[in-house]
Amino acid sequence: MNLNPLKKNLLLVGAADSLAGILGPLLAEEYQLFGIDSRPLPPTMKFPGRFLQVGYTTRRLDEVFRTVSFEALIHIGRISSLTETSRKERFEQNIYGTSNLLQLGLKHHIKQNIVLGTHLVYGAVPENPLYMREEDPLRASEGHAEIFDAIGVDLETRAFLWHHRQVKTTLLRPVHRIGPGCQSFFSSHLSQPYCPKLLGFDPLLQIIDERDTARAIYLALKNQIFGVFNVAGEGVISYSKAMAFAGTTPLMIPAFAAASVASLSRLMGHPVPIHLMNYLQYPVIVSDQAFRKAVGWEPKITTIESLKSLAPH
Amino acid sequence: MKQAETKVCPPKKISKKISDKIDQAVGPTNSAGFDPWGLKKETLLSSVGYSQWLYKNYFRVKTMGLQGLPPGRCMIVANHSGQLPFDAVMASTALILEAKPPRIARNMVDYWVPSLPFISGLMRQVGAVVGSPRNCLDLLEDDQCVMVFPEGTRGLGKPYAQRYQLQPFGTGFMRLALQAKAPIIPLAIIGAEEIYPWTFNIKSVAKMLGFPYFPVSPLTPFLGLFSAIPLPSQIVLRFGPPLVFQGDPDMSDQEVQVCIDTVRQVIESEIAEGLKVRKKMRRGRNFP
Repeated sequence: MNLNPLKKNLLLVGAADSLAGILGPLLAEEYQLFGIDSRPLPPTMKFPGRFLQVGYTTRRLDEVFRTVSFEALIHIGRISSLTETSRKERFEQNIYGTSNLLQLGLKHHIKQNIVLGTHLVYGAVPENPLYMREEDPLRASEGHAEIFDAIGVDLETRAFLWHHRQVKTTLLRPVHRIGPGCQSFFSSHLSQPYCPKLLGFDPLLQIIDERDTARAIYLALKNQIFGVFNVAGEGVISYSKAMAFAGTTPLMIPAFAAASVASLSRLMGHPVPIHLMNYLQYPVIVSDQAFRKAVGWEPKITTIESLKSLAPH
Repeated sequence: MKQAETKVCPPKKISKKISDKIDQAVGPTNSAGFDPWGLKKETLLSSVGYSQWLYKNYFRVKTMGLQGLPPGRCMIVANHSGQLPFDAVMASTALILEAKPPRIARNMVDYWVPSLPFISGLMRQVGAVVGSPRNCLDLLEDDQCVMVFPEGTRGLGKPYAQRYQLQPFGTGFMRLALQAKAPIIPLAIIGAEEIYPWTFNIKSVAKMLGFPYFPVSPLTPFLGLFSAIPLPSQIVLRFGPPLVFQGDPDMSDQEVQVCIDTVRQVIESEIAEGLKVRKKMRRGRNFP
């Protein structure tokens, strides 16, 4: 079935994500969009296409692939560990779900896949080179297994990418996504009036505006690139400076009390998971040279503009 | 807007001349004022405001041979001593104040430095980078001036009795210089050995804190924190002529050692010359 014969069909997985609110309209000009998500569509969000709430490992998903012939699949629906989901659920939706989506795509002859990963998979350890490259080992789960679902998505996509080279598969690893409504770790925290900061530590960060992230995905789609790519915004910034621009007040936490604060933060409604505390101590900076070269990437939104979009609360 | 960043309070007066030199030395920065390596111009300016006072008035540094510093990528290889890295601070200050054009020394710091609260952020903002081979190579390929201390903490933490005796050099710096085709500038630092002459190393405390050494002065029980004040030892910096090595970066350790020995010998002879110069300076004679 083709909903509009003039436009090719595109499956957007994670259509209830705030990023889909920006990416959807960008893609809708050229594609007939079909959005799915394991979460319901937020009432404030209007998806420019058909939307279906469906789990990524359910049989209903098979039906979607059987009835619509998709040209490409974009997966931005990884469930964050900040959400109220169990580890089991995240593992199922993220790891098995990603694998299932890619395999269904293969079965139904989808020509192009784009999966949105995260640069958090590199892990925040003091030994990191300042600029992490795509081939570097993923060390995020060295101390905490909680983040393994993000690494799992990455590994599943990379395994698929090399096994099925006839399909143009792209894994993007964007840096901290920032934007109003964005549920990424730093965006959600910098949007709060108070933001945790480990006493004496001021790691370097890279951030990318959600509008730029949407552009990066669009460019990856249009250029039909193949492989793994880091995607970064405009340069680096220290965490304290980012907080200042976002207009939030630092809540100083001694490093030895980080675990206790992480436990308390969940009760207070703004979880700072213990497995993400390392990112408040050591930097994870990536080199996006490969992506710049492949698609001519140049971020349009400056770091300051992006951070200021989070303030006032 | 709230400013929560680790700050170095600016000294009262930073001359326009220093400010211009820093502007000249620092490359392009992003909208938030950071260069691609995390250096922040304002923090560097404040730090140089203090370090230039130490440079000119406290350690009375005399710098020689900077005219040979080539433009573009280069690797400064220096001896290391003095328990705390005042030698690196003085050499970095010399590169800003006296090099033409001024250069930012990208100091390669140990892996444990990012784990130090307060210090880690400050070091990064004044241009220091963790000394991993990848970082060093990336910096050289970015045409930066990298400063390395191949003796590492062996040199920095050595006792006063071993002053001016170079500790074994690692081989990594030479392989990186060969790979990046970067000239090596030997640097002899004379005077830093006498900054903390009477400290000793408490190994058990160092092990407990995860530090390579833990220097303590026997005067600490009497003077408290005042015992950490460095002695105003006069420092002489002697930059040697650029040494260009060619060869396969993956050559055997034995072959690399030949190149390293050349650098080592130059530093040793520069140290010997520097000690003579300093002796003359102490006697109030003119030096060459």
